[in-house]
Amino acid sequence: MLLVCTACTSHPKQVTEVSEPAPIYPDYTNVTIPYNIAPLNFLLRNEVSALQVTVSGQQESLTVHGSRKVCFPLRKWKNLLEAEKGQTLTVTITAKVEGKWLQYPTFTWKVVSEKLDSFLSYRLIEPGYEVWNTIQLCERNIETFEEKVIADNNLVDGNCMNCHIYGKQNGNLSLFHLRGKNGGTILNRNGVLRKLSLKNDQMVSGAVYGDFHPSGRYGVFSSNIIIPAYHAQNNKRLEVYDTVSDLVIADFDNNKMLISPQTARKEVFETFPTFSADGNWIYYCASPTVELPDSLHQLHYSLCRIAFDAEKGEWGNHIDTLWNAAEHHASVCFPKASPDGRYLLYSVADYGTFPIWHRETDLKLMDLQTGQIDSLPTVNSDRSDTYHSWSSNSRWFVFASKRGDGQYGKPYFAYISPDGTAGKPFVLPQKDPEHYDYTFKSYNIPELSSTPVPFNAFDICRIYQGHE
Amino acid sequence: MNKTHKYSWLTFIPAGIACFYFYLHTCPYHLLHKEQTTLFVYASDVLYSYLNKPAVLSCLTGDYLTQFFRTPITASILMGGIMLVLGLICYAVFRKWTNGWLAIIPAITIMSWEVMRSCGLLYPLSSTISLIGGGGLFLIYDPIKNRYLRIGTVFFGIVLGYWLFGYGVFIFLLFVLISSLIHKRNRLWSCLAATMTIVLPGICSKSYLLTYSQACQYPATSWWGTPNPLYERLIGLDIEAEAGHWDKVRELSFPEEHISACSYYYNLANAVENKLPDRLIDYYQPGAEGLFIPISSSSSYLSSLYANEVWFHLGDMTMAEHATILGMIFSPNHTGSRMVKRLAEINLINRDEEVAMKYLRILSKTKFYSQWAKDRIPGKESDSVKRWLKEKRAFIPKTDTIRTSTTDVVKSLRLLLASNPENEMAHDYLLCLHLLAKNLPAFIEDYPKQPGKAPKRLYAEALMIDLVRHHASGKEIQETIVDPTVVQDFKEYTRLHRQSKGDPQALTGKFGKTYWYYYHFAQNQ
Repeated sequence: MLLVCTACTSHPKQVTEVSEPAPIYPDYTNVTIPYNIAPLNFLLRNEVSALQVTVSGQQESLTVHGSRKVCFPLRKWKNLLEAEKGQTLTVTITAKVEGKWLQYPTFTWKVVSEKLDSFLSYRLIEPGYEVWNTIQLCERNIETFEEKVIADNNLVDGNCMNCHIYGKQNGNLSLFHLRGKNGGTILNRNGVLRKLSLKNDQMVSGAVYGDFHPSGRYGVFSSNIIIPAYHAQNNKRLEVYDTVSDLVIADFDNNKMLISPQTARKEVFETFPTFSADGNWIYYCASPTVELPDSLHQLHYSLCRIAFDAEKGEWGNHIDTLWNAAEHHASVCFPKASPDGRYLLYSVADYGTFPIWHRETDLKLMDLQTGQIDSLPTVNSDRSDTYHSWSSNSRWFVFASKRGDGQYGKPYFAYISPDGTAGKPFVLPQKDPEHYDYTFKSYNIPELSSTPVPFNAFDICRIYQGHE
Repeated sequence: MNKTHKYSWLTFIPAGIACFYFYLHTCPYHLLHKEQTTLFVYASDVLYSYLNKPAVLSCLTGDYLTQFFRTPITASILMGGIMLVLGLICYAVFRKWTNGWLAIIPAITIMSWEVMRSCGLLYPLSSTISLIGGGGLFLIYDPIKNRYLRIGTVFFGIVLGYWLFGYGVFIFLLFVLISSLIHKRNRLWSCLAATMTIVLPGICSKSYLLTYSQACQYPATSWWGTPNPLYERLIGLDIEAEAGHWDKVRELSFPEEHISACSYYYNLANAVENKLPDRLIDYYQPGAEGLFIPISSSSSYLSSLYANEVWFHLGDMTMAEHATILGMIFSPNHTGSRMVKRLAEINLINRDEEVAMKYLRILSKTKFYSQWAKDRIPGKESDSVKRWLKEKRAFIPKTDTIRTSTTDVVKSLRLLLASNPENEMAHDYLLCLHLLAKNLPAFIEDYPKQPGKAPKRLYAEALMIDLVRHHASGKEIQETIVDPTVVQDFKEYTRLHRQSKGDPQALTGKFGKTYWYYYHFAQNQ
């Protein structure tokens, strides 16, 4: 049996070295990876009939064979990465193409010793403009290929669900919004689920985009009236803008909403709030109101911050502008502070407040100590690179990118070294490397957590139906 | 037993043939539509996804067979054959308890019931396969003589049956119960099996993420159905339009039944041949909905599917893609060969090759669309595809705008014309849209002034109204209208209108198909 199996596996003979890079998909060439990531399975996009891939480190190596796809055995992969923590792996691909064995130029995988948070949550939804049908919130263990559905709208009357976020990258503190008649904001604190109505008469809508205070007691949110609109040219597709947007803080312990006139002004759109790492500030995006949609190209959001006193539960009085949209003729979205307080990561588009459909959207990294802004050239692509979330150790972040096909968003991980240098990002690996080719779903709102959430889709169903 | 019982199963052959004729003549378009809303992809990632829900074998088999529903004849043959198998399985089961001729009755009844169910637009073939599977399981189980083996097989059969056939396990259980009652054996175990069958979907619902009722009836969608000639006709319009069979579309549009979807396709068939204004008033027009189907989050998937066609032909690829994606999202399987092909086309036209390649890769892994996909790979297109792309790209917008609604069609059409004044179809749609809304000022604003050139009859009739309102001179009328018969007819219409004091009956005979009649008497419906 072994002899038969050995005979079936094709081994390279009379190998010719070629200069063009191997057409691998996904692009895992010269990326920086955490030691705890699942195997970077990939395939070759040419007329390959047999493959041999060798991953060599200082101490260990791993060789796999395949016909078109390269799938590394999980245990051997983990042993390899564990042994080569902090080292660089060299990947050699030898492929049989049209009867000839070709050896492609090698590339590297830099294995850093800083771990990536083990759990990634995201929403799986078609890029259906403003509508949906089937939606799932999923949590994936990035160390394996296990994916758990934590909410499925099939079980909650087909209603929309969105914006699943963690507090402090911890699965025991999270929330998401569940729309519909029986909907609300589902708050998870240590496995206890509560359905909250985050709206009062002063708010223009229920809570939308939000973030947790480090203490877990508060959440800061925007409340927005959101209008979808449609472009006409090429692949610009959808535009989304707010006609009204303000900020609000929810006090989960005292069940009240805290509103400040400073961040609820009629003449300003305030949105995408997030707490600083120490919880003393709220960063957010603000733009003077303009006539919409006619003046959409003049809609530029600046990056601002306002103080917050967690002890007293009070907003500050003074607003600082950290990045002036008028000076840059661009618009900021989604600021997120690194857990160590060193950086602020945000996305910048030419205009507007919905960067996922803006091809030009790029991520920027502001050093909060020096004020320097890194344009992250190794991270950004020619498609929208946007919604992001930090890992708890501040060394990694995940972001949603439409690179590749430009339509379906996928989660990418990027490493930030202690000196602030960014590594080339890589896409979330899948057991079958063809997965992204065949899925009709986008990976939306990727968020990292060090621990899994302690609930499942049926727990959500029960709370939706009122069986708490 | 009478030897003729041995041949009683032959009765099912004419029954199967009857099914074939039934499908061919009653709902062939339904079957083609099912193929268009299914996509069987030969890729391991896609095939493994069938394990995410129960009825794995039913769904795999159902979708596999549905891909062959490409012509009415092959689809009807397949359906007839599948119903024949169902009938024979049921006959074989009932034969165990009664004589051959009597067993035919319940078997034919079940067959007929299933034929009716399958007429439902959303009813999947996998549901029929589940019934076959449930019956087949019983036929495997029943010959077992050893008591303990029988008991064990029942329980194993329930678990396996649910995994492979979904609700077909209830059919298996039903036959097991009947058998145990008739033969008066294993009744206790049969009751336990019944309990297990009822409980199993509930246990499995958690991992399959289904509600209990969904888990019990999966993959069935309904318990009864009947042919729907109206839907058959509407789907036929859509399928023939998508294939570019415009004469057939016009044929299916009649008789007029005041249905906006029929008007939509009738208008589209005329518009692609530059005859929209020539035939607009010949047919029932429900205002703007005869030209554009509005889509929103509450639209049915059929509406979304229909809506993309006109935009695709006009050249507005954003609207076409929006409608196509909505149609796909809301279709029964959230995919479909039709939509994926259209998305590939849209993105090829827009030169968004990367996303076009995603769709082409998917299609290249299907049985019947791989050559279609191969002919469209960017850089390797066939000559005919290159010509087609060149034609389509000539009409796409060259500048951008923002539409706050999919019903903001005037803005869309004006943008198309600003980019491509030669876009006759957009021109006709814009003008006809104004005319159907009786918005003469907008019509005049958008009508291209071409003194000396005879306008199309419909436009001339509308221009005549405006000219008379503005007390235009004879020279101006002559230069604008050109054709003197229009002026003469208008005078005659005016005379009759005055004489009859505006009685539509007096005018309908000679002028019922003129714009003047529409302008005066048509009501918005």
